Amino acid sequence: MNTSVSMRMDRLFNRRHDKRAVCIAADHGYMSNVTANVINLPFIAQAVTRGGADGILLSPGRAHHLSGLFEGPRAPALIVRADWMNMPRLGIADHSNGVPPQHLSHQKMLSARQALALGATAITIYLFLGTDDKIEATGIESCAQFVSECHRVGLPCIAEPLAFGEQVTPANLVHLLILGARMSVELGADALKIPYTGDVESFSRLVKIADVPVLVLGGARSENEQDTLELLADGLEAGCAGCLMGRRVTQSPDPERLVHQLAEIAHPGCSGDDLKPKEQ
Amino acid sequence: MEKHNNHLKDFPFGSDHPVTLLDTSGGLSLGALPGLEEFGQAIPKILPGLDGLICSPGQLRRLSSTTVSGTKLFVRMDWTNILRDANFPLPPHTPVHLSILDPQDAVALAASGMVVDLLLGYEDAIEAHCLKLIVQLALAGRELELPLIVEVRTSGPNVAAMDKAIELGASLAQEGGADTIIVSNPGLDSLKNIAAMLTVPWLLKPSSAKTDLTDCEAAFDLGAAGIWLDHTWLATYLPINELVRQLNTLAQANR
Repeated sequence: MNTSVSMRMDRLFNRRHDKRAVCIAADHGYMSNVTANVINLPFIAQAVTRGGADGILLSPGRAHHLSGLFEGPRAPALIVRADWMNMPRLGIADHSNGVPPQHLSHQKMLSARQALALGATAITIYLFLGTDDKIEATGIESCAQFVSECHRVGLPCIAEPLAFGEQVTPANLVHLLILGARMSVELGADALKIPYTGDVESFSRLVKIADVPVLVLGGARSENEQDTLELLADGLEAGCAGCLMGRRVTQSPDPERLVHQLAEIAHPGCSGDDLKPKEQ
Repeated sequence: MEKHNNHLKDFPFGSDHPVTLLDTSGGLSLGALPGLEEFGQAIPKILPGLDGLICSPGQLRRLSSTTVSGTKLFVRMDWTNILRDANFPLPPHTPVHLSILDPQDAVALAASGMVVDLLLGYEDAIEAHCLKLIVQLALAGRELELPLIVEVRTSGPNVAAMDKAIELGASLAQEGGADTIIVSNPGLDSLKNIAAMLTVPWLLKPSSAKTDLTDCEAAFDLGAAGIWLDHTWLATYLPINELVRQLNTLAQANR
């Protein structure tokens, strides 16, 4: 791994010297309909920072407007969403969906160099499996390009494989996620953001096959926040490096507290003092 | 960085009252607009009272050789045929959206900022294209100290709920990096959501079909930075000069 990538990986995953990270995805306003967590994003981003988030995933626009959050030695790392898709708006038939898309769209939005100029410590990109051959090919092409660009400028590339579409069945879901994880790594991804497979054994297999740091994502908000904490605990038991959770945290009545609880699970025994620079 | 921030502050928000902008760039797609057939003669009559004028690249080239004091000139960066209706001599069969100007060209034209559409409710590919253009222009704009104004247009046939579509457009524009956002009136509840959501300045695009300015008053109450008049206002119940005068009176009352 080149030195710059390695340094930024360390910034994200070793902020507390334990090779783990609790990260929050706050890029929903870029792809989803407008909900309370989108309207209140600046306050939520501040809350999760106070809660001890190691990284926050934002759209390019929000990364610019909330850049102050990422200044200072104790600040979280900025992860920039470098591509875009409309999946969250597909298939929703209620009034909240003002512009229902006809098909899945997925495309690159900015270059790794542009993400770096925004102050990114890493970028995140999607890799869709299960929709159709064209979408899969677009994702692979995009992932390969991003990895090359990222490594030229020293930026870690976090791939997010998602199983979505008519080819996905309950029977092949885990297989597709493991496939997506491995394909991403074969393309050169430095880390993964990926859904939990449902049990420790299969997720452990995914983590092992990936052989790069894996962050478990949260998915739709759970009414019971204990589920969220258990999801991370199970992921860690399977060997993942932490989480990159969105709605479960940003739609929580108390995001600061929830992030603090997640951090206690991922970084047991760590306090804020652990954020001090390591002695050389 | 500091210089850039100052530049953004200069317009339109250095103003101590809501501003009025007029978009005359519709000629790119519609040809001569009512009252602007002789552009060079018509514009000086329109400018007094306006805080900003949105021009096509060709209009801006002409204006750059004349003295324009007190009115910021913005340039339209894209082209679309969706402004045309079924009665237009070339009625659109397929919606099209194109980028027509490079940010470097906007600097060369001495534009105060760039303007681009976010089209919603058409083909998915058009939405994606618009959003990518917004991201790219916003990033380029930061390097060139050129703010980006995004006009949300929710006129596509796939819009299922207009209020939610306008909210979505405002959100996408902000997430894409817009420095200022233009929205139509989605109704008071939605406008409140938009006002709460946006951390960048926003302007209301009132409907020219209405014959009063109550929309504008409501927007000012919610913190709108100003009013955006599109080309449809050039042929309505009021001469444009009189409309601008009324808006300015309203804006002064909202100091």
